[in-house]
Order: sequence, then C-alpha cells, then structure tokens
Amino acid sequence: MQKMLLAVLSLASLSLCLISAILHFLGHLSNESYKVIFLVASAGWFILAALWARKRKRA
Amino acid sequence: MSRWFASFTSPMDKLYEFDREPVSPDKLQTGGKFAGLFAGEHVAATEFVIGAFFVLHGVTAKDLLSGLLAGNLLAVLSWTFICAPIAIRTRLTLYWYLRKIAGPGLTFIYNLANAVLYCILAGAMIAVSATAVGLGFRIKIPSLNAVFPNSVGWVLLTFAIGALFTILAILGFEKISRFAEVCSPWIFVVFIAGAIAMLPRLGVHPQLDNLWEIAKTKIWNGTALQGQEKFGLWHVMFFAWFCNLAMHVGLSDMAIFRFAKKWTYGLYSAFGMYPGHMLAWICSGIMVAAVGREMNPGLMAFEAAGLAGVAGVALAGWTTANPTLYRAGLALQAITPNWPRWKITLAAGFITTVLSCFPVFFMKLLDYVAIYGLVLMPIGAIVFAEHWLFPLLRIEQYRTEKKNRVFNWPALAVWTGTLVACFFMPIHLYFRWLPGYFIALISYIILQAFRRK
Repeated sequence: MQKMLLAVLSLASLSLCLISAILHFLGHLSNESYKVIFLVASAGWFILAALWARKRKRA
Repeated sequence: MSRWFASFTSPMDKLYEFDREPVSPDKLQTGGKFAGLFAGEHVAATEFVIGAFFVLHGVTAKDLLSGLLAGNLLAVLSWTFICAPIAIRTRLTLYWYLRKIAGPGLTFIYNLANAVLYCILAGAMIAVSATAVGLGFRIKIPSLNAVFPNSVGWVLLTFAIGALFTILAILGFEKISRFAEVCSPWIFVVFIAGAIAMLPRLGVHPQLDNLWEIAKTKIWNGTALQGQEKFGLWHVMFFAWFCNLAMHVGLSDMAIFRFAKKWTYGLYSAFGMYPGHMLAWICSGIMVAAVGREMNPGLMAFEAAGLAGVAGVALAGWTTANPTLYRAGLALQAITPNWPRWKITLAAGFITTVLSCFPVFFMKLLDYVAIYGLVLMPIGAIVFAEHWLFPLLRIEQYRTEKKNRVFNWPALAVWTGTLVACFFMPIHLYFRWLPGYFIALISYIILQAFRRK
C-alpha cells in the first residue's frame, strides 16, 4: 500500500515538473513561478522516488 | 612475446571470469527490462551538446527530422540484425567471443583502446557538468574552436569536478548507479520541460500555429555558425546511426543481448533511440537557439529550467561519467592486475580529469563520437565475418583458439589496415565507417581463406 502511494506521489511530482513548463508556455505561469515549482517538484521526485526504489528493492 | 602477453592476459581473464560461461536459460530477461535499460542509458549529458551542435552546424528542420528518424531506425536495425543474433547464438560477451576469434593478445589491445576512448568520453561529460557548475562562479566557457583551456578557472573547475566524480566513484559505484536510475526519468523531463518553457522566448504562440515556421526560421534555419561546417540530411542520418556504432555494429552490446530471449529484442533499442537520440536532441536544439546559439549546456539549462536545470546538467554529467569511469577502470585493470579497485578507479579518474580540461573533446564531441565508433568498428566486422560468413564459405572458424595462439595476426592486420584506409578516404569523417566496414569484412575473409590454402 505504502509502495503504491510512493509510486503515485513520485510520478505526480515528475508530472508536475512537466505541467509547470506547459502552463508557463500557455502563459498561465510566470517564468519565476515556473522555475520555483519545477525546483520543488524535482526535489519531491528525488525524495519520493528514492523511497519508492528502496521499497521496491526490499519487496 | 607470447609469454610476455600471457602475463597481461591471464589476470585480464580472471577479471572477466564471472561472465566466462554462456548465459543459462534461467537468467534470460524480459523485453521490458531491455526497454528500461535502453531508455535510461541514452539520455545522457552529451545529449545537451549533440542536439545543440546540429543547430550550430546549420541543419534545416526538415533534414533534422528525416535524418533523425532514418538514422535512429538504422541504429535500431543494426542492434536487431547484427548485434542481437550473434549475442543470442553465443550467449557470450564480446570479450570472450573475441578471445576465441582473435586471441588473448588482440583482445588485450582492444581493451586498452576501449579504456582510452572511455576516459575521453567521461572527460567530455565532466566538461559538460563544469559548464553548469561554472555558472555559479562566473567562469567563462571555452570558445567553440578551443583546443586548450582558456583560463585557470576552467582548469581548476574541471579538476575539482573530476576529482569529486572520481572520489564518489571510489566510495560507492553501486550506490551512484542506483541513484542514476532515479535520475534518468527526471533528466529526460528536464529536456522536455526546458524546451517547452523556451518556446515563448522564440516566439511560438500558445496555439502552436507558428511552431513549424519558428522551427524553420529561428531554430534549424539552415545557417551554420561562423567557423562551423554546414551539415545536411546525410550528416544527421549517419551521425544518428553511428552514434553508438561500437555498441551495435561494433558488437559490445553482446554483453546485454546475451540475456535476451530472442534476437528481436534488439528492437527494444528504439526505447533509447527515439526518446534519447531524437527527442532529447531536438529539445537541446530548441534550448541553444533560445540562448542565442551559445554552446553552453549549463547556461541553456539554467535559462530553460532555473536551478533545477543546472542540477540536471550537473547530474547528467555525473551519473553518466560514473559507469564510464567504471568501464575504463575495468579495461585498465588488465595492465595493472594487482592493483585494488580503488587505485584503478583513481588512475582512470586522473586520466579522465586531465582530459576534461581540454575543451577540444567537448567542443568537438561529434567528431570524437565518429572516431570512437570508427576505431572499434573493424573488430565488429571481424567477428561478424567469422561468425556468419566463415561457415557459409567453408572457412574454419576459431582457428586462433584451436591452435592456442595469442594473436590472430590477420585480424590485427585488418584492424590497422582498415583504420589506415579510412584515414585516407576522400569523404567526410561521418561516412567513412561504412566503406571501412566492408573493407574489414572482405579483407578478413580473403586473408583467412588465403591462409587456409
């Protein structure tokens, strides 16, 4: 269950990186906001994906 | 002579002992594993440079797309029809199969050549990372035609990064490899997101109605930067095809495909080629056009994705230099048999770091990739001839192994002779490997058939 949750959250972080770029392209996000969101979402991916990978390895 | 070579080759054999036996059926892997492996391996730091160079070389948008589509297809077919069938029939790595065909002496030379080429490649990756880290210290990136370092700052920076990568590789190669698995999907996203975010700067409308027009006029506009050679469809197509020449036609990916259930698993290489060697190259082309065609991967990524982009370039360099350093160390271990693992990695790291100071390897990366494939290509032709053509032509296979010889002299003559012939060919460097391959194939068959008589 926890593994599933980590998988979903890490993929959501990665998707957020991409979505922020698309929103910036469409003019809904300023350049600064896009870069901050991208940075935070990237940090989220690294933390969550590392935990997910650890769970997968244990399983 | 034989005894002298044996003193080097027997420790080398011990090093590769673990994969001496053909892969057993229970160790075969599913297609998904191959797709994942290729997808992860072909989005590297060098992708930031290669795609950008196509823009600087004045490739047109149409030539770029058709060249990449065709060239990557040829690469996938080379893995599928040349590399994978030999791998699944032998279930051996190229190291052991070449040993049967060319003898331990020639295999030793091949390994040494590989080590030097790996060090140069890892050096280029360190230089790419240095462009990202250098932004923070305002260090000027060397110019496009630079051969030597342009400042003390650049030397110190590449040395610091090279030393850091080497120390980290010594401390935990395995851990970094696992970290690289987490990194690779994100690095791919940095490419895609960075390119999307740069589109407004180039004037692309949110409706995308002028995307093709901008692509043709502002990105791949067909005008080469001053001092850069003009590239066309054939250059792009051949580059995409030979970019991994040592792996497919050169057969070094037998190490991977010996675990495949069927030769058709070669088609899974498309999962590396089309996202990595097509989409990522297109994205880096967009990014370089948006920063005024300045070859500076760190700056490109910073402008495209901020600090995360800088981290992306630095991490892409690190995670791809790490296995390259490992492979170089493994190949170097052949000549330093009693050295511990850390000492070998230190030596490989030192050579790599010194090379990374010289911007020529990074600024002439496209030419270097061509030379890298060209140097190792004749070995692939020799193995192909011995494996497939010798039985058809009734020429005895594996004579070097059967006669317990250290050297297969005709193979060495074909290897060096092909490289000499390629050097003098009056055609562009990118196209030389193809006639060279046939020269190697035919001359090896003739030499061995003549020897039989």
